[in-house]
Formats: sequence, C-alpha cells, structure tokens
Amino acid sequence: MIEFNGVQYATDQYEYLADFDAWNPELAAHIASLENIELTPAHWEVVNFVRNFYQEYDTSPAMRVLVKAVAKSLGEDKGNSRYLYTLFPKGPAKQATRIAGLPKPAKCI
Amino acid sequence: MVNVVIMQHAGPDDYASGHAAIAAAQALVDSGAKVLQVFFYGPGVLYSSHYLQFPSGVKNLQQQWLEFATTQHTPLVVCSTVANQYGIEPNVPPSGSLAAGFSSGGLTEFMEALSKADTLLQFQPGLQHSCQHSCRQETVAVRELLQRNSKTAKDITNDASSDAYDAALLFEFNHSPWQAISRHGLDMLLMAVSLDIPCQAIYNNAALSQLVVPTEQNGYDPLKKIAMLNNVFDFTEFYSPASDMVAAGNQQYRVPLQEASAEQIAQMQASAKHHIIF
Repeated sequence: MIEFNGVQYATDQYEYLADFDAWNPELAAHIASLENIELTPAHWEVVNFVRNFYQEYDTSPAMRVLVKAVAKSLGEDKGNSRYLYTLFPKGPAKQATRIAGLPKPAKCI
Repeated sequence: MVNVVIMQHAGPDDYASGHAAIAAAQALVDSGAKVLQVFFYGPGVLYSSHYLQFPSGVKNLQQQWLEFATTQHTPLVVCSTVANQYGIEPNVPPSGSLAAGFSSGGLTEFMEALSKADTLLQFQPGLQHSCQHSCRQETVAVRELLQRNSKTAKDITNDASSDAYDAALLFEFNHSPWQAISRHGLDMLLMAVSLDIPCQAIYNNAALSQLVVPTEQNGYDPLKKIAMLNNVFDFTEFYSPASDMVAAGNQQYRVPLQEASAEQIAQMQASAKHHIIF
C-alpha cells in the first residue's frame, strides 16, 4: 500500500503498484522519493520508456532486456548498465519499473 | 565423460514420465556419464514442494531425486518464477515450502548448465506422443547416448571444452498460445536469445497460432512478449513446416516467419546441439 495525497494505492507484496492504470506522474515522483531518487528529465526518459515497453509487450523488463531495449530505442550511450545505474543506483530494472507503476520484473527473464 | 542435463517438465503425478526420468538418470551414471543438473520447470516444479506426498504403493520420486542428488552431487534446480505460481515459496519451512535439497534458481542456471552439457534429456507430460510412446522414445534416446558415450567420449569431451555459450539450441513448439507450456517455452527462448545463444525456433501445427497477429476479439494475448524476440533482440530464426503454413491459410504473422521444407527441418534437428520441445 502506498499512500499519497490522501489516496491509497494498492501494491503487491514488494510495494510495486498493483494497477498500471492507477499511475500518474505525481505518484511516480512520490515513489521515486521513497527510493531516494529525484526525477530529472533523464530519469523520465527511462520511466516513460518502460511504461511504453510494458504496454507493448505486457512484461516488466529485467536488467538484460532493459539494457538491450533502451540501447535499441534511445541509443547505445543510454542502453548500458553504467548509465542506467547512475540514474537508478539500486538497480535500474527494479527501481525504474517501480517508479513507472509496473509489476516487479521476474527474476528469470 | 559425457555430460548430461535433465529437464523434468512433467509434474510429480505424471508417474510414467517421472519414472522414466529417474531411470534414465541412473542408467547414465551407471555408464559413467555425469548429470550436471536436473532442472524442474513447468508443472515439474512441484517436485520441490516440501508438502509433496506420493500415495502408498507409488515410488516416492522426490525421495529418489534427493538420493540421486546426494550420491551424484547433482544440483536439483527449480525455476523459482514458475514455482511461485505453483504455490512454492523458495525457502525451506517454516518460512517457505521448498523441500530441503532443492535449490531455487532459474533459466540462467539452466542455460549455464546446458552450455556445458553434451546432451539434454527432457521429460514432458504426454506432449504430442502418447505416454507409452514418449517413454519408449526416452529409452531409445538413453540407449543412443550410451552408445555414443562408448564410441566417441573423447571427441565429445573436446567439443564440450569450447566457449561457454556456443551451444545452438533448437526450440520446437507444438501447442496453442493458450497453454502454459507455450509461455514456458517462450520464456526459455527469450532467455537464450537474451544471452546471445544462437537459437532456432520451429512452430508446428497448432503452435503456428502463437505467431498469428491477434485480433481484437481474441481479448487477452498470453504471448504478447513474443514480439520482443524480433523487436528487441533482432531474432529472425522463426520457422514453420511448409505444409503447416499452407494448412493455416493466408495469415498475418507478428514475427518474420520463414517456411521450411521437411528436409530443412530434419537438417536443423540433426545439427542443433540441443533440441528442446515445448
């Protein structure tokens, strides 16, 4: 459960938003603050990217997929783990998907 | 020495498949082969449940795997993502429900073991064969493997010493998109492709419908992520037998599907290092 602006948002057991459509940008900024991240345009680029990715493939990208997919769409300079870790130090796949309101990525894929 | 990986995909109530797998594992080690890993996937993950019981009069296959693992130092690896779906929490009780002796892992561990293996033996529920048929098939496979072992063990060892992920995997799909086995197979193919393992994928009969662009009225699309293979990983090795494509009529496919003759398919089957059927 995440409480923000007087609204209670249902989450899964790992505190990932339960409903993809309940997400909004203000809530994203709030979840980011729970992760100790202040969202810059560079963060937003990745957050929006994973939201589109989820809509297209119905899957929350784990690290290997995220790197490859970002490289393909946003270029090699962004599709590498060093760049993504500077934005999301505790794990780009884990943190970006949580901020974007996606389910937790599966361990396997 | 011949290195083997076993994948148990059938659940523990599929006795025939379970017995065949244990018997094959035992026959292999008796002949001097090494079983690098037993991987439990699909309904097979239930083998790892602490609460699993076998009716009296039926051999306790879980116990047999545990004994095999202890004597042969073979890890029993369970796909944790699938195991969660079957109610297995990947810790031993009281915090979880995993039976001691099994290790919670995933497709990465399986792919790593496969890269070091000369052969994969896969035990499925019925699949496209009747049970008797598939059991007989596995027996033949083991016998062939043992013969190969005695003849060319040296060559095989040399092959196995090459690079980690040089294994070419041939995936064959036989089921409609609505069956869980199709999703399990897709997840494995995605994992292999994301690890840059050279793969080929053949879609037979009903499996062709996995590739058809879904229409609005289909509603839920369980294999939406299949498009990642081409869009994200530039994977283009999708094949279907020409006869199946003709039978399917004029369809729009969501991946670049290629038509393959019976000879081409036989060639793929013969040349792939491991052949995985879902």
